[in-house]
Amino acid sequence: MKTLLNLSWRNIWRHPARSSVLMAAIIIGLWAGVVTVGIMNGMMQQRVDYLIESEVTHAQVHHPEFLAEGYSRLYIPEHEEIKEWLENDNRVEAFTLRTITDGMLQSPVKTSGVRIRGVEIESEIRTTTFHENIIEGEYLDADIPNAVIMGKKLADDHNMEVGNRVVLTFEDVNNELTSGSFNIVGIFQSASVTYDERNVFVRSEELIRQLADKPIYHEAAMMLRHEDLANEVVADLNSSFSGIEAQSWRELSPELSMIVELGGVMMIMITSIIMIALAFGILNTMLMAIFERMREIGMLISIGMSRMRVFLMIMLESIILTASGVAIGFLLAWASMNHFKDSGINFEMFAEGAAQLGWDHIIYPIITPNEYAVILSVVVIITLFASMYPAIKGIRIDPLEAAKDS
Amino acid sequence: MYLKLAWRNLWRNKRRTVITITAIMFAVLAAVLMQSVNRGSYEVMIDRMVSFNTGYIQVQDYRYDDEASLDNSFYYDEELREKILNADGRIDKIVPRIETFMLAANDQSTRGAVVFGVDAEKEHQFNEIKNTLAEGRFFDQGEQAAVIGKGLANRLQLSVGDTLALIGQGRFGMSASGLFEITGLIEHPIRDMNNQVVYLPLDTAQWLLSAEGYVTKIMVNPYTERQTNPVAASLASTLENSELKVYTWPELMPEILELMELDLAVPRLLTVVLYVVIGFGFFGTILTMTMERLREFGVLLSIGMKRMNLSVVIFIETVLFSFMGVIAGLIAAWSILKLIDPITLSGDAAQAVIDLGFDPVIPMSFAPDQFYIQGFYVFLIAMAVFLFPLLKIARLNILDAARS
Repeated sequence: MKTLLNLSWRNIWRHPARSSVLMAAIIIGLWAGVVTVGIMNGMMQQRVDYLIESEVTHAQVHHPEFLAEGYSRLYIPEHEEIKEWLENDNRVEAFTLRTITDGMLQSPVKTSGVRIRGVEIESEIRTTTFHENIIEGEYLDADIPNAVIMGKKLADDHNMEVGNRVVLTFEDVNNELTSGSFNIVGIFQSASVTYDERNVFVRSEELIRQLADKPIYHEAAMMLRHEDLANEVVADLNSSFSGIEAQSWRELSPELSMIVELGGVMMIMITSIIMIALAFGILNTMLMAIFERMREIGMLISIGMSRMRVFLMIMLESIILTASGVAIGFLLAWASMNHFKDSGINFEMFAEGAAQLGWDHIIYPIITPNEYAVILSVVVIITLFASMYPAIKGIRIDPLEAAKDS
Repeated sequence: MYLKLAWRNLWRNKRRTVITITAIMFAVLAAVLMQSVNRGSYEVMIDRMVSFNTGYIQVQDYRYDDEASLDNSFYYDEELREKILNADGRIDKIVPRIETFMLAANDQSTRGAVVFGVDAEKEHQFNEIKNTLAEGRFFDQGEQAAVIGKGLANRLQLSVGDTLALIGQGRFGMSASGLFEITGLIEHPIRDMNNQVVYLPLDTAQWLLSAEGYVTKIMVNPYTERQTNPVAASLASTLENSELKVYTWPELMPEILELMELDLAVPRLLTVVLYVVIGFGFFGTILTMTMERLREFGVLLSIGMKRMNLSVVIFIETVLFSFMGVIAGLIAAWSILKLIDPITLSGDAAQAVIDLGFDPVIPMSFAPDQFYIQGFYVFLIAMAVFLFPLLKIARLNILDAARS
């Protein structure tokens, strides 16, 4: 065994160029795997965070039928109690109450269906970052009565600008149609065109005045200390109150759960494609290396080295190469992850001048120790597997033919 | 002469050639798969937007884009139809629509609704709308009937056979209101539309909106998507002196395309990572191959072959097997895509996609450009990496090489 190890070690150094190429392939493969997974994780996490922080929040409370029907009469019963509960629960970091109704927006150009969201400015700013999406004019804290902010797409469709007026028509709690004229104080642009087209924001006190004779709220949105607390808090809310439904962000936003679920599937597919490319790169290099050495292996067999030992020798070579490649590759991957984790990867050049919308064009890759371990084992298995085939080829050599060759 | 030498060299050592060709083949396969996976879903989304919303080419009044109001509708008759149809031989379908926003109501509550006046037959040929029917039937022309989205029906608690009231404004501020029998409910594939869409027969809608003979847009579809731009160009020249303007689908939904562009940025970054992996795979293969052949090169040079000539032979070899590898890779990629398309999702992932109104599959893209573009890129990578032997030849020490 010691002799074999010695032989393998010397074989590796006899062809430094070939060995370093093999090692480089493993290093690059490991690095590519880690970077790919890191980037995809980072991208998904950033999108999820953006949607949660700007609008969806970790959990929301509604009347059970409100989200499907959108009628203003389906408000949260006993919102005072829920407010008190949220104020006193230390898992809740911030929350806000919203008054929402479906309605129509009319401008001189045309009419569109919109969801009208009445927000309480102070608590909304404490809870979400939506006010950062304003691209023109001001947020609702502007000192103008009946202020409204609308999405850029909707504003463009209606030829509206900051300072113009629109009429909002909606049903009050008694199903009576009511309408009011509102002044556009700001234009926002979020990460979703459909959202921008379908949502307008007003101040809740002004909306409530037209909807009912008492304060009513349709949505309580809360940010928690940690997103993992969402299910727990939702369950507690649902068991403490009747006539309402609390839901976590995953249940609330199909877009969000699609990003998470589909993103996972896509990540596996893309990583596998890169791994397949890597496996064949390594396999081909190994095959070439063996064919080059046919004569030498034939010689070894004909002077009496057993085939088993030849096989072991080749495998040992691969193992040594793989081990060093993996060690270096891992260090490299870890170092670049550490570097990009703080500085981010700017992918602006791949976006071909697309406007900066919602999420940033800088990705901060994320990778867990678990994912490191999976990638590591995949690369090791692929390499050993890829080296197995040439090793088997090697021991099947007919020594006479091989010695005659070249 | 060179070609013959190169060709013979290739087949002299079949094993080596086969390995190199498979290396390239798998690289092309991986590159095309990567693109196909990334683009498939977007194509489905665009296809849906195009067929249910914009059409590949649209004709509108030149004021409509700025002000999408019924006042900017235009007169559409057999004469205009003929004119459009004769503008280009590649026009397949012409579908007129009148579109506006109205209030839809039952006896107690009201909802906003997007009203489309359509020719049900033509519309069906255009986007197979009848296949989205969940209940009931589509109307015939002239009927006082409506087909509405299931989401809207739920909100208004209406079902097939009930009466729907529509209230709104017609052309030039005329008041428009009418009662319609609901003959069918559809499950509109665009989720947002499902909650607000009302389809009326074209002539009924025109009458309701005091716009007899008028439409707001005409969708024009060429036989294949690729003909969009040339057909749009010939249409534009035919309609040059009228008040009508021609749009292609990218002009009609710039925001969505812009967002998609941003979405595709990360996959592009990952494609670069893939190219790096591919490049190194090639490099490993070629390095070992070159070393294997150093002795042969040395012998050839020492018996008097010029370095230049040898380089040309090697270069031709490279072009030959890169080309074969790329072709093999493209064939493999196409067959594998055919085999796996579409990938069916299961579990939570499937549910998440269904909730958004899509089929629970990851569709593959078969866009031809991804085949030749990826094939070309891999060919370039192969050529770049395989030029390494040429460098080696230029610097080869004959004595050392022949001795090894």
